[in-house]
Amino acid sequence: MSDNQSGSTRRRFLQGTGVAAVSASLAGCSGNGDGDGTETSGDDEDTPTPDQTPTEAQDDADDIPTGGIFNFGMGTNPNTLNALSSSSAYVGVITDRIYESGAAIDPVNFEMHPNVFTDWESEVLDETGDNGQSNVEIYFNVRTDGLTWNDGEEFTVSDVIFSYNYLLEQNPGGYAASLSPIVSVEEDDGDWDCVMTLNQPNGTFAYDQFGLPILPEHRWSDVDDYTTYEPADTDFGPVGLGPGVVTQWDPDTSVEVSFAEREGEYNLSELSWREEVPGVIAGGPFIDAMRIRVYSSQSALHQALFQGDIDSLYEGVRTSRISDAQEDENINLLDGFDTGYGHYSFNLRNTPLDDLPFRQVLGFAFDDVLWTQQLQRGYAQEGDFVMPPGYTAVRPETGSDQELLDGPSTQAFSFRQSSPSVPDVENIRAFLTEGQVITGEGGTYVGQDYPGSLTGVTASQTEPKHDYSFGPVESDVLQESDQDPDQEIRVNGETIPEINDGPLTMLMSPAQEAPQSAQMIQDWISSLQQIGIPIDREVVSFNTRVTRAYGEESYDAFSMGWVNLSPFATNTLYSLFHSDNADDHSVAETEGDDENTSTLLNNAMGYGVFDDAGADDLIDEARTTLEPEARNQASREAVERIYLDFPTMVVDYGVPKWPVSAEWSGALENIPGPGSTYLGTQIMQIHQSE
Amino acid sequence: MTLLEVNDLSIRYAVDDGSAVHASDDVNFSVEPGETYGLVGESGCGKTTLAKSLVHLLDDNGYIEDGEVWFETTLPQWADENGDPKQSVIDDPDKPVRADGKTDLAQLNSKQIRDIRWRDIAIIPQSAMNALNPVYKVGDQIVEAILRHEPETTAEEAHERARDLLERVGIEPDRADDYAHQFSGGMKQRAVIAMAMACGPDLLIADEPTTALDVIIQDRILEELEALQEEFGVSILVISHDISVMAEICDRMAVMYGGKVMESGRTEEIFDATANPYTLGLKNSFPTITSKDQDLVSIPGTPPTLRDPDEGCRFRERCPFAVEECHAAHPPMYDVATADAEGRAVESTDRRAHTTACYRIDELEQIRTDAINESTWTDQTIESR
Amino acid sequence: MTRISGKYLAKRIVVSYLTLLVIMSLLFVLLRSMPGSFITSMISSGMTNEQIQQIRETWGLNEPLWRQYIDFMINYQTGNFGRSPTYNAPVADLMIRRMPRTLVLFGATFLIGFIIGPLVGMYLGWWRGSKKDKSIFSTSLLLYSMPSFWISWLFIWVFNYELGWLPSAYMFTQFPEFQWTAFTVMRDVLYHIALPIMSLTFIGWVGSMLIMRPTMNQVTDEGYVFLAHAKGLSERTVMIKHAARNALIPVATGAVVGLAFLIDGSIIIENVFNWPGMGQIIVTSVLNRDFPVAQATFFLLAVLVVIMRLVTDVVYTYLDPRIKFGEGE
Repeated sequence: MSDNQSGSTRRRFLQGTGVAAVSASLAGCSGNGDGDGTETSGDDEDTPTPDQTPTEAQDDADDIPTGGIFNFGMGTNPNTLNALSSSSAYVGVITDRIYESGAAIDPVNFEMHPNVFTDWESEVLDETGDNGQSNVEIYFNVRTDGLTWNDGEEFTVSDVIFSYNYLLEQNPGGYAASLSPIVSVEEDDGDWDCVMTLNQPNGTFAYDQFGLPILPEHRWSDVDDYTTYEPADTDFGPVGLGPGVVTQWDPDTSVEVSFAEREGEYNLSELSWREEVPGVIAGGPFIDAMRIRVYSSQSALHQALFQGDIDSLYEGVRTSRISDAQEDENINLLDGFDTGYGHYSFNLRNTPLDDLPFRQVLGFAFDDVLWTQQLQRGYAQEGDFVMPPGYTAVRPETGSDQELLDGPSTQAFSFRQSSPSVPDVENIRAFLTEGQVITGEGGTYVGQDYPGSLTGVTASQTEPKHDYSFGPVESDVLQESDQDPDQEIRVNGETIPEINDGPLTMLMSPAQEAPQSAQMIQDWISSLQQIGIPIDREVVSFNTRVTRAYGEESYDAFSMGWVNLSPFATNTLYSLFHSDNADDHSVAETEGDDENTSTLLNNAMGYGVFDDAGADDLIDEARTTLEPEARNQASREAVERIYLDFPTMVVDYGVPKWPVSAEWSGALENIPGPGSTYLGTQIMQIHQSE
Repeated sequence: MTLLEVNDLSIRYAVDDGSAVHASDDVNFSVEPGETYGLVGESGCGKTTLAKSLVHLLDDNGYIEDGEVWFETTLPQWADENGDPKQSVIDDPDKPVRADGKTDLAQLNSKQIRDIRWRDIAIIPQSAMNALNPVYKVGDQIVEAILRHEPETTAEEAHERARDLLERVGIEPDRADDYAHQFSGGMKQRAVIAMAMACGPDLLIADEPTTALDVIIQDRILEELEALQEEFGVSILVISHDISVMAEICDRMAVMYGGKVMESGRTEEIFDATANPYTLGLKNSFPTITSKDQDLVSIPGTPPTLRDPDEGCRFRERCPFAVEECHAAHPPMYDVATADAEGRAVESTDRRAHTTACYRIDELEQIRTDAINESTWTDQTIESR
Repeated sequence: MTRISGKYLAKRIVVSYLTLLVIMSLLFVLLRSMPGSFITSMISSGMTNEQIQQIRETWGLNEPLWRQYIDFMINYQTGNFGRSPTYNAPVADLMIRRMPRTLVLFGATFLIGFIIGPLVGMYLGWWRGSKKDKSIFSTSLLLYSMPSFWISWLFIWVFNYELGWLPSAYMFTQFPEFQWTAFTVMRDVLYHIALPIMSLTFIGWVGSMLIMRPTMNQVTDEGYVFLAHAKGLSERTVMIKHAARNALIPVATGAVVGLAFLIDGSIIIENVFNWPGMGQIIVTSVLNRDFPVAQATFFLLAVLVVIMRLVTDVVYTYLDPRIKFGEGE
């Protein structure tokens, strides 16, 4: 099973955007916050920048005022300092200051750079493993000069070899995907320090395999079971190569990570590549310590921010307090962009959701303006593709002359209205009854022109699968509906409740958890009911929704969100839209249920399982293409194919607003997840305002 | 030398609408040392109120409107070494102390009257069975009273006395360490009696001492009271609706109706030469007093509410002998002996004499005869109230 | 003074223990009938089936249900609450850390509330109908109708935000500039606990007052209160020693109920005041599907209530000598 498990470990489910309160309390499962992966260059030409010995402190860094304590607030407590056993983003806020990995990513160009490893090279071998894929050897050098563990012990190459082998032996769940392709990591006999053998080519090894934390052998070698180890209980706390030392640990209320303790010892921030990335400041950290205060609720957290008890908080200001923060002269709001998207997804296994024109109609009924402008007060962007607007390299607009987010090719499934906020029932019905499909060809669909696809791809399905007609209203849900539709849809002559033993259902959060979201879904369902589509809502908790959708795939439609997607798309597309990551329930019924598991597979839609809805070919192409531009082009095509095939409707991208007290400067703006995904970068360069 | 002298005592209960209930009106009586004095009447006639008012134990809305309650005692702080009031106190016009050593209890404030309570006048309340606090040992409750009024006594002495007192009323001394719920009804009653004697009071007020007790125990309690009286020489003010009980134990008595004393005098006089229609009616309604072959007849009608009562005899509405005169004003107290002997009504000021409040005192013989007939009472039409 | 027989006490302890067994069984059933297994939160998207099986193994989920039940019952009775998947720590450690905080806050609140409430109830019941009674009583009813979190926010706003006198969160200064000594610990806890206790007791006393006031009033009509007056005892002595002492009996029963409400309220209050106790962890453990923690939290709160009941039963026998448990049985 190992060959189909290369998704990012950092992607996590997230409640749809606009529900800050809930997503924050659940953000424990929203990722471990140590950055997204990318691949900077093809394996062959991957001769990374020659060894960059840490240089003397940079000129500009000299001018930067140092000292001070940065007070940081979190609405959820970190529960451990064991980076292996927890995937909590809030644990990452601390442990990412402690642990370093082989390579580092920058949040501006999304390039991988030397970090603990100084340089590397990979070679595809002729031999193939059990999986039929070529094995790969990666040679790399370890920076041992000037690097020490934060407890003062000497750092050696054997620590690196120990780390990989320890992780391989223990196989912690959070790192399983990155570990599974690794066959071995050994000391190299030749010119390099180490050699890592993979059982398949992987263009993203610098992110995946070099992103694993490097552990001190002198601390971990006695730990037989990583799950029972709590670094907080040891004499020193967590030991790593990073700039921080945990100097206070009360996980329920307060944590202090001191940087002053490591003054003069930590030099990875002085690597020269940092100076070349616009906005990135080398030579940090400039603060003496980061003090983390834990609050029990979002309101208490925000209260503390406005009172000046904390200088910043995790993730961003919640929508309802953005205007307060804007008016507060003590708070600067830093813009960023989403690392994922909010979506409604459909189960392609169920009729008539198995038919493209029907799914596209679901898009015509979604009132984007109501959602982004009214309910989200402009703090959400209208959704289209499964890659957020910040990841321009893999957005289909790239290379075309259309504008990001606003181009007509991104509007194929925008709200069709006869008058503001009223769905164009007649023309939408006609779309179905006349057998139309938006396949990627230009044309006029439901009264709106579409210029054709940006990348030239077409949808997997070009003809309707079912015959649609409208007749008298028969199903209960429509008869009882306040929308009072005059007609009801027939699929091949039958009503939907006749086919499915009931109307379609939409799984959604309780209104008290996500009021705007609930209101939006209500509006969408109303529009569909007006059209004559029998659909009802079912209110279930976040966790139940995860189980129902991702575990059991027993649903018609549900709403949720993704964060921390890869800016280079391939892993995300593979994990979210490839048939390898979907259960094929038709197989289970005939050949036993080995193939279908209650495992949480990310492709809940079953996209790719069926011949007439899938992008496996384009995704595979992107994954195996080593040349970056060609790979991005394949990714863009896959993204647009998914858009046209409409297994998932992207409803929005969040607009994060990260607050930082005016007492502090130096934070990067306009990067993805400025207060979450790339918090690490921010901490390294934040400094007192002059 | 009287122990207690009550002069023109009027007690009122304030009512929300501004009117007042005349619970007792211009009552006069006096009790001699060692005497058992009875206040008898139907419930609501004001007898209990009268008794409680002597030591200011009225409910919150009750108050003494007028009158004097002279009692043979004085406050500790006003007393000389013999326990008699100091001359300076007697001479002080602001202090309600008379030259004969009596103090007007009606004029004492609430702090002062607390020193009189129990030390001089103890009360055995109507529901004596519930008068013991369930959460304290019986003995401790007696000790509490002793220590309150005799702070110089040690706790051990007080406990010893409590046990003696219990023993004196026929309860094993060791039961002092028991709680009330471990006592039978009669034992509780006797325990309260023992408690009442704890400070050696001069006057014991026994409010319905036998109500709610079975006949055998009733008798024992009454015997107990008589024995105590003999031993300690205490005066007892008995309050009861049960005229037969009164006949048994009282030396003198006053029959009350509607807040007024209707007839008073020595017990034998009242029973042998009954001189008031109300008393006659009351006698009719109790066994043992009247002749055996006579049926019991209760007085028809109900006692008046006493809320701002109008002029006239209080009993006239239920009285089969009422005449025009009775409506004008409540009758004064007439001397019965004079009436019987001379057939004329003479007002009496002698509170020790047999007196009655009835205008038709000159027709006593006739009234006594008629009252025996049941029809006299049942045939009358009750005036609308 | 011993009014409670050892035999009775033993019997009550056995009954309490059986109660806890029933509660444990209920917990086992309830938490397992919730949709979604608790390992959902531990499984990430990219895991292999082997890894998932391993997790199931670790948590004993591959055992038959009856076996899980027996293990659970044995473990709980030996104080082994398992490990928390989200905290990656033995649940017992977590409880030992958090339980005292909750006990300090709510023990203090409970005590203060049950001193003020009966005291006020005593005065109001004694002087029932007076102007003071009417005004205080109606004010307290108004207070009682206010949600506790609202009062808390109000107090935070006044004493923390506006006046800056008292801290609005935590039990200790998080990053103290001073040395921890016995004295500074006490001072710091008092400083931090002041606002939550003020907020909680601001309305918390009303409940016991509402029980005390009418019983106090009833008691004033009792014969023993009249007799106490007749004995010449001072008003104060009669009110406190004779009347209030008896009126307290129903208040003791109310205390157990009050405690249950207090635990209920702790969920809100601990979150408002950022008090890192049990109430906070209930919410997060349920949200995170951290069954071992949720289970242990509910269990310990149940233990608390059962113990309080036991204590009340014993206290009761001292408050009211008429109740003599275990003699007639």
